[in-house]
Amino acid sequence: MTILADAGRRRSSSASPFLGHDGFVRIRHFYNGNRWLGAVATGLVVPAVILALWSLAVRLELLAPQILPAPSLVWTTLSDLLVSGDLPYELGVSMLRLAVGIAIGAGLGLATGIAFGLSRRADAYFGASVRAIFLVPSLGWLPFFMLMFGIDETLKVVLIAKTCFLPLMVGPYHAIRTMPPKYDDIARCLELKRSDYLRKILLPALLPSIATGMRQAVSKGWKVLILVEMISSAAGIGYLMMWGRKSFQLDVVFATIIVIGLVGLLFDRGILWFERRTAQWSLHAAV
Amino acid sequence: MVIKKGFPVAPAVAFGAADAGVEIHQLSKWFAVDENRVQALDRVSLTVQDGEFLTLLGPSGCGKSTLLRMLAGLDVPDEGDVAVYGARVERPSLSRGIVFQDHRLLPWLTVRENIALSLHKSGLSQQEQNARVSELIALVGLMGFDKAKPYQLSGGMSQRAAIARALAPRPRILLLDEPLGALDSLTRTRLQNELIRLWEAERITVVMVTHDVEEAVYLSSRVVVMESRPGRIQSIIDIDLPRPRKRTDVRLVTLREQILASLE
Repeated sequence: MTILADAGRRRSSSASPFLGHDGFVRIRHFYNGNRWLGAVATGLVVPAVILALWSLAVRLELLAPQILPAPSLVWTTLSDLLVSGDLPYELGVSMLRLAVGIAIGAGLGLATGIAFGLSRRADAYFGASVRAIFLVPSLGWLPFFMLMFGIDETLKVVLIAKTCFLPLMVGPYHAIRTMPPKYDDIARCLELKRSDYLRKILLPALLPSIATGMRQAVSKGWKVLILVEMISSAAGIGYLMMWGRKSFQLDVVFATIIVIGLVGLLFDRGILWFERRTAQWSLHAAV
Repeated sequence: MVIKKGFPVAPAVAFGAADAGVEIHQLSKWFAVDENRVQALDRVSLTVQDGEFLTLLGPSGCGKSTLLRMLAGLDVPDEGDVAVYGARVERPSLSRGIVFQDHRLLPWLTVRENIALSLHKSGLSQQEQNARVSELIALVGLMGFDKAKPYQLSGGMSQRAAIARALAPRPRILLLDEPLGALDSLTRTRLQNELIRLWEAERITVVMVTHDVEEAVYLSSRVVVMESRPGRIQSIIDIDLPRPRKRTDVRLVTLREQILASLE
């Protein structure tokens, strides 16, 4: 009780009497303007601690330098790779594969999800099989895909497409099945044509689930791409990492780890931002 | 203020006469509830005159909303017929505007886009459509909220937008399914007066479902009192009081008491 009372008192006293309304507003403006910077700074705390521990481990020679290179060396390698154009090139190759794979996989997944959502018959015939096929992990299909498609670009694109299919199929499918019947009432009362119904009601209603599915698809696709590039590839960021391991250049391995992590994070944040923008109404709509 | 008890007789004129607003003839409807057939409406017959403000009043489960949905064409009767302005109702139409208890605006569209959506069959040019939407936004008092999304509006404002959407294609009849049921009493009172104003300005027929006796008596030219299990018409009450009406008018209060007593 006393703690609660105390907390209440503290809150009320810190709100305005000392700062005054203007002061409060000014602080909030400052905070709002720098919220992004603040978030970045907060997010950098843990990497900074890791970096410190890493440096300490290297200084104390806890591990052989061939296994754990110094942060400074990794940094030098990273900038060398950037300047020489090697890293941008490999990253570009990976990005292109990812883009094509996602475009195909996500597109097919979305179309299938919508089809299964709208047609109970299609779902009854194909739903279980399609789900079972896609629930086998991507790497489980890899041996077969290698024999089927060879080890060239097709393999990577097929594998990414396969990975991105399910997230884009499942979300929109459930969104259609749980869509309130009132939207159908409205579509009928407004005498909307089938095409208008798809464009003006169904697709916007699915956007939040599409954005969520995209976020999953991109992060899963990115991971599986790195894996397949490590297993069979002559280019790409995963290949660069594997090359570093084979030539015992752990500084290259660490540099690529950092790049892969940062790119993955960037994707995730970017789509999250898009998700929040497109689905703004659904966060507010209680209906 | 004539209270007619019992079933109204079927209209003497030919069914589907164009001069009557709404004709409902011997309409029955059943619903399946856990493999049982429950009768929602039992041989309901009713005629609504052109330009009338008619309310369907009754306890929940009396089938008043089902009846309205069949006027809209969202449900089909199992027996009997419904005709609006001489045309048998088979499916929903923009010529019959409808407003539900929840606004049912599309949450991803602005107020303007939501209203414009009901003009796609109007044959108006883009500019004419824009003008018509602006006119409606002004009519329902939503000026300045063109670009607002539904989640940015209050309940009363959303309902105004929904009414504007229903009125946009200039329907001859407006169907209202407890349109003010979810609003607070102050907003409700204000929108009741707005409804009267719109009804008088647009010279349309209004059929409204409500369970609020005071609302029914204050707004309507006729009140159809329904009873439940199975849903049928208990009585029809003419309210030929002059407008504008006063809520405190002794005759209105008396009528309200009478109807309340008959519902018990």
